[in-house]
Amino acid sequence: MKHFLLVALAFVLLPSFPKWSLAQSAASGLYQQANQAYGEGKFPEAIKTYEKILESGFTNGAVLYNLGNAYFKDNQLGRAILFYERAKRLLPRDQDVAANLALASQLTVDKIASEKTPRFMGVFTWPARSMSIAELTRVSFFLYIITAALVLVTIWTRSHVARKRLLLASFIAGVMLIIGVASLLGNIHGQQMVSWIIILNPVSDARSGPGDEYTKIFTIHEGTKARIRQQREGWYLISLPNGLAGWIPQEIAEII
Amino acid sequence: MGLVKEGNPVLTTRDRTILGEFPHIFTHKTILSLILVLCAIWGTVVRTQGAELTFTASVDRTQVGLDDSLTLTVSVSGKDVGGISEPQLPSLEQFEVVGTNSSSSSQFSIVNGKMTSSKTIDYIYSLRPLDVGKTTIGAATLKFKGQTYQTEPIDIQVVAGSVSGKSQKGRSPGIRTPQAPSVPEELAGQDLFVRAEFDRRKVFQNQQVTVTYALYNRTSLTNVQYGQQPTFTGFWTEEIYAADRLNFQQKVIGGKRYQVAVLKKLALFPTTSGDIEIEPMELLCDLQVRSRDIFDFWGRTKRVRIASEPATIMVQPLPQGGKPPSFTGAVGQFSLKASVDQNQVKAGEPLKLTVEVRGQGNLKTLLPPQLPALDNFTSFEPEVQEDISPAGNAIGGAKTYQYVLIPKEQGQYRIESLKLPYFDPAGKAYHIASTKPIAIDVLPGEKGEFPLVVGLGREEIKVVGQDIRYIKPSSVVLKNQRDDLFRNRFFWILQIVPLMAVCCAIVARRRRDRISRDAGYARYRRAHRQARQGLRAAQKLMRAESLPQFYGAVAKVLYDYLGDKLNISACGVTAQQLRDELKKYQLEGQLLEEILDFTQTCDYSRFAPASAQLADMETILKRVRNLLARLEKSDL
Repeated sequence: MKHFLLVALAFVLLPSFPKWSLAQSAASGLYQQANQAYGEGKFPEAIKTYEKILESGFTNGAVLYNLGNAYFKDNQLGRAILFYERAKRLLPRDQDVAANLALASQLTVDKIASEKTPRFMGVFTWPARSMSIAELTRVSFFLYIITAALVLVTIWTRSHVARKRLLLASFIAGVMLIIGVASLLGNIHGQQMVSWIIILNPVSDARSGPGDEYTKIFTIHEGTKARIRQQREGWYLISLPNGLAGWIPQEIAEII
Repeated sequence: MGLVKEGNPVLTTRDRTILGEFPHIFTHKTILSLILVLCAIWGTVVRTQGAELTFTASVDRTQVGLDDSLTLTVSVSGKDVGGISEPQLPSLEQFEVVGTNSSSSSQFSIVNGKMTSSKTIDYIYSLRPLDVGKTTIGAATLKFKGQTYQTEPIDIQVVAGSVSGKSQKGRSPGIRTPQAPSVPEELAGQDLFVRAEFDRRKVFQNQQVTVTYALYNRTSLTNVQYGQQPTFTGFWTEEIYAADRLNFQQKVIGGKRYQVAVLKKLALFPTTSGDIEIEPMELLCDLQVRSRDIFDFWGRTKRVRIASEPATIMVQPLPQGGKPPSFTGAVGQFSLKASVDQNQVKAGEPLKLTVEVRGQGNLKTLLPPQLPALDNFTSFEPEVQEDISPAGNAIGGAKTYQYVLIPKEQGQYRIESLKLPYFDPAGKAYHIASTKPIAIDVLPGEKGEFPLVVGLGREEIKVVGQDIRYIKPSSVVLKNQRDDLFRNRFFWILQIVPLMAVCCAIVARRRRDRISRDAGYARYRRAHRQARQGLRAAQKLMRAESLPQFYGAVAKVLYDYLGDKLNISACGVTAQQLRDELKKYQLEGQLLEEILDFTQTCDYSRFAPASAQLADMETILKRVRNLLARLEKSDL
């Protein structure tokens, strides 16, 4: 049992550490190079370099954000929004990301009215909105350990007064744990289970079925965000926040 | 004094009614003005010599404006003037004869029983002066029965514009009654009418048009009320004069004497171009109807509605050619003056810049002149003062803009000249009024003084452009944020550990609770442990070869064990009692018998120690261990 625990811990905390540090130094070099290119106004070059970092399997919110900026400056609005969205998942509290995403979204052609969630719902979704999956995983894990420890001590304590206090503390910790886990599951669902796409083609048509012969239902423009409902070879069935749904070719969009 | 009785009703403004009440007539002002009118009329009357014929010439006034007209009455009276020819007028080079008329009247009188009859013929000429200056109406001549009669020449003074009659001289200047305008012939036949007179009918946008409403009366008017009033849509209007009482003036038109009163005078500034219609003004007049009934002392009145003719004003747009780029719609004649209250000021202290626009025109709708760029000054919205009043017929005056300027830094500055472009409708050209530049010497401000004005000039940050925020800098330590922890199977398996710990804790806690609560359970739980301790003690006794104690100890181990397990008192347990208790449990095969046999052996050996051997003791120990192990496995 003890051996098993140690192995598990090793898996959790030190996954392939040496490989990481190697990638990190290479990525840092490329990152500096790309930032310099951006500063000099060579946006296509900066894009290439940032992409190279990502291709090596290295992901970082700053890199995604800077790449979004480079695409924006290179007049590729759709890709800029795509990378801002990706950066937002890793840096949900970053104001720069939020500001640039808002600005870029304003420049899109399609103005889609989305149904607004009631204000009181915002209180419950706040942890999910303001924390990334990685952060929520760790916070929830920490809360789990705290709750378990508190419950253990509560069980073993002899003093009645201490037990009452411990019970309250473990209850609070337990509620926080439930919120944390719910937010984590919500984010995993919203980001991993459900697929969102950003349209990259300037103008394209959404059709009633997965094929060019189907009736055109609506026209969709670069930078619009949509949710994938179904996939067929080469086609996505997407739905917009206002309820419209249609099939688009896969190559005009990219999953966030 | 018949004039007095007819004229000068009083206008009460409260109920918009013009009332003719006699007691008001005998005010000092009215009497004075009437005397002056009479002087004007009769002062120039010249009587010719000769008993049979009187030949005179008179004018209604001796001072006349270029815009006014003059009435020359030449009257012939005497006996037998029936077949008389028209008198010959002098050459009137300075006048234009606008109209002629004549009237005649007869008189009979009996003096000392002798009846005399005479006839008067009035020849009336309307004259319009042609030039400003002193002029003379020469003598008119008349030939009658071989004799030539001549009138005396009359001196006339002609001034520019329009003048009020001499009767106005006694009045205070504040409530001057403007001169009634001349009347065309077609209206001259009526006894009561109201007329709207425009000084011009073709104007530029924003150029002043003056309209005068005058009431002409030769009836027994007792009361005048305003009816429907024109709305003047398309105009900005300014009142020049509004009668608070009717000041009638004597005027002869077409040989008829009219009482003329100016009701209103308005300056109109058209705000749009095009043909603008002005609606008629209506008056409700009460006329006295003479009654034959002697008891009907006051008589009855009859209400008459009269209205002025509608008029059209042609408003031309301002010419585009030569229009200055900074033109903001000022039309008239203006001058611009700028001054500061001090030429030397400390930085941070306020300075007053006064800009005065003076002139005639649409002052009220004037926009403030553009301030020149004052980079080192904080300037505030101007305080505007207007002093606008009609001067004659033209609306004008001064408009003052007071700017507060606060210099920011010390130095020599110049307020560049301010410019006000305007259109002069008289010259039909654009002009620019400008001020002289003003030099300002700003001294260094006192410390601590400047922040006092800091709050005044503050403003919101204005967003002038929009762009994305800049990239994240390179100094950020680049960490791989690719996170697969939630995908890691071991991570999720690891979550069981705390859960298991909690479960174990719960189980252990419950067991401990039972021990503390239940003595029997506690005995049951410790039976096996105590049995092992007892056996260790028995082993020691075996080595010491103290046989009776050994057998006693071994038996006690078994008895105690069973006592604990069955929760009965260990001392004084008989074999029979044991059998009864153990029968309740389903023990395997021979176990019960073996236990009883074993206790018998122990008892026997204890009390007959000689037969016991060391080898036997080891067998006994093996047997009791065997028994205990089997009992532990049983449901006991």
